[in-house]
Amino acid sequence: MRDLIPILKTLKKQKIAPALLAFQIAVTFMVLVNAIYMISERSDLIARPIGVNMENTLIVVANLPSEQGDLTTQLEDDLTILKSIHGVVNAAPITGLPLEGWGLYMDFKLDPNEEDVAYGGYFGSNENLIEAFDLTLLAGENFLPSDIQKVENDGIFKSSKIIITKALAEKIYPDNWRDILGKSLYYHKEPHEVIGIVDKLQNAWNFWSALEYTVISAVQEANDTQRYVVQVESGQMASVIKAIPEKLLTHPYKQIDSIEALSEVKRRSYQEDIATNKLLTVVCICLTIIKIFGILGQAKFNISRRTKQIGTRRALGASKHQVIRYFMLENAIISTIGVCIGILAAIILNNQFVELLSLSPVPIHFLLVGAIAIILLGQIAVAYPVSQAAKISPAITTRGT
Amino acid sequence: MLKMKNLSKAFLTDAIKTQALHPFDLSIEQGEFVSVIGPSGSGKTTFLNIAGLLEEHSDGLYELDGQDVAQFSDKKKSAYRNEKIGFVFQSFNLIPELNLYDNIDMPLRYRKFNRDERHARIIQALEQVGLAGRKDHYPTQLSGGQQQRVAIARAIAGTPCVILADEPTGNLDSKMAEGIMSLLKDINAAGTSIIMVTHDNEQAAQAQRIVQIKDGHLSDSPDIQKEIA
Repeated sequence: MRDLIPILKTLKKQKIAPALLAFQIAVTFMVLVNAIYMISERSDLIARPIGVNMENTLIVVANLPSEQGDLTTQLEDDLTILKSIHGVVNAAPITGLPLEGWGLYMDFKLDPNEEDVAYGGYFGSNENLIEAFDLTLLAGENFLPSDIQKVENDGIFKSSKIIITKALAEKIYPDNWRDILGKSLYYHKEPHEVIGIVDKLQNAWNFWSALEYTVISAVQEANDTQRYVVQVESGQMASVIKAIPEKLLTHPYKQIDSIEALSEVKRRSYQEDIATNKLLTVVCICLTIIKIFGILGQAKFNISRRTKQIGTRRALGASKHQVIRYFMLENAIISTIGVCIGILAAIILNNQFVELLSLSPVPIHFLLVGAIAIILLGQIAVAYPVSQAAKISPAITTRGT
Repeated sequence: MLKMKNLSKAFLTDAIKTQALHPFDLSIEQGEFVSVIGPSGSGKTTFLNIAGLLEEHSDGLYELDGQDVAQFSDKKKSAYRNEKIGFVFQSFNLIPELNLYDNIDMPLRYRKFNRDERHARIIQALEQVGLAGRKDHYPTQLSGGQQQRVAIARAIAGTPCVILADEPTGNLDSKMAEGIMSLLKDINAAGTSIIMVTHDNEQAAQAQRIVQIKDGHLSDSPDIQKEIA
């Protein structure tokens, strides 16, 4: 640390050049920290589990043509076919899909004459859905086949047994979420007895605050466009996808709209977020490269400007190692000043983002890790020019160059 | 104090060997004031660089203050240079961003002196060159002669056994040059050896001994002393 005070005195005298470098570091830090934080927040959102076995869950969307008669019978036939395919664990009908961007939602009451206690998304299905999604039942029990009501359209208006997510149970009973078992939730003025609680199941809209407040009703709906959830044995996805059209297309009116993994539905749902993250990542990488070259260029200029001075230091007793240490420390000091200004600027910028874009504030540990990373980046950037500086011969002091 | 035996220096550029200094012997005792003269390109600077451990010699023996310096590592050589040699350069080589006090402090910081000892040495050196009152000034606020005095103060603050002066008055007018010569003689009188490279025969003659380098050949025969005197 013997160089610390002389470096500070030198920087104080030079003022402009180190101030510009510190300013550049501050701006880079401010932008990088906020951008990386936005990327990480968005990545966290995308990474939230749906609550479903993503690897082996397949979604089939097919029609139930009225020309072929009763929709419920057709639906049952389809299910029988799907379950008979080699590699299929179970299959269930469903009224909508997690993260599909389209679906049903409703307000819930504990008493039909009181205020709403929560709101959330709705899926109507049967006793096979838990296995078809590979959901985790935390408390209570699954539907029995006798619980299932089979309807064509408008199943939401039926009074039925329901299974809800733990998040919704906690919303209604924050102290003990299991208390909701056996109680009735009212929607569309009808009571619905809660018989089971599953760990997690996201509903239709990824941006929704009630994304994890989901109700599964024991009402199996048959619709013109019918969605099926199919749980496939590990490693059987490709063969099942291949077999479905062969088996399901039993008559000329039958059409399959899509056969895709649930992960594909999720990818589509977060398409814009993924693209934004990619763009931000490219911006961050470019900014980092520009910063490294900026510091490298400035360090090279600084060193070439001070060649004679470095030679003088060498002649007067500085070893190569001491020259390296001097310039590395000088850069670390400037970077630290820049980062300190940057932290303030980042907080101010982030506050604007918090207000304008409803982002959460950047946590302190994020700023500190960013600060250390920027200082290290500076050290890496000056390492090469500084190693060149150490090679300056002390003999240049007498050669008049 | 300084002993060179059969010492030579050759440069190898593009497979062409240039003999900058032909083998020579030279001994300088503690307290001597030696001038080194010779025309441009004769090898004076190469000699000075080797003597000052700024450049390595190719062959022969070089002992400074009783130590053979040939096998020194960069670290040891730098520390030895700092401790044993004081440099006075033609263009002063002060650091413009540091004031006089800090300029003199710079080489002392590479030694194991504590703050008080460094302070005492800096003030004493500044007093010796007559600039104690200007310690907070920056080099650009001084005349050339004053800057060279600061450089001399920097050289003597570490109490080296020898001062190597490279054309110390080369950038000064005659009046300033006279002052610098007088200062160097005072320092020498106090016991520090001085080796001064110069073009100026009149200044060279003020030394106790004159060494001449011509076309890479070094000679310190008494004839040269008489000729210059």
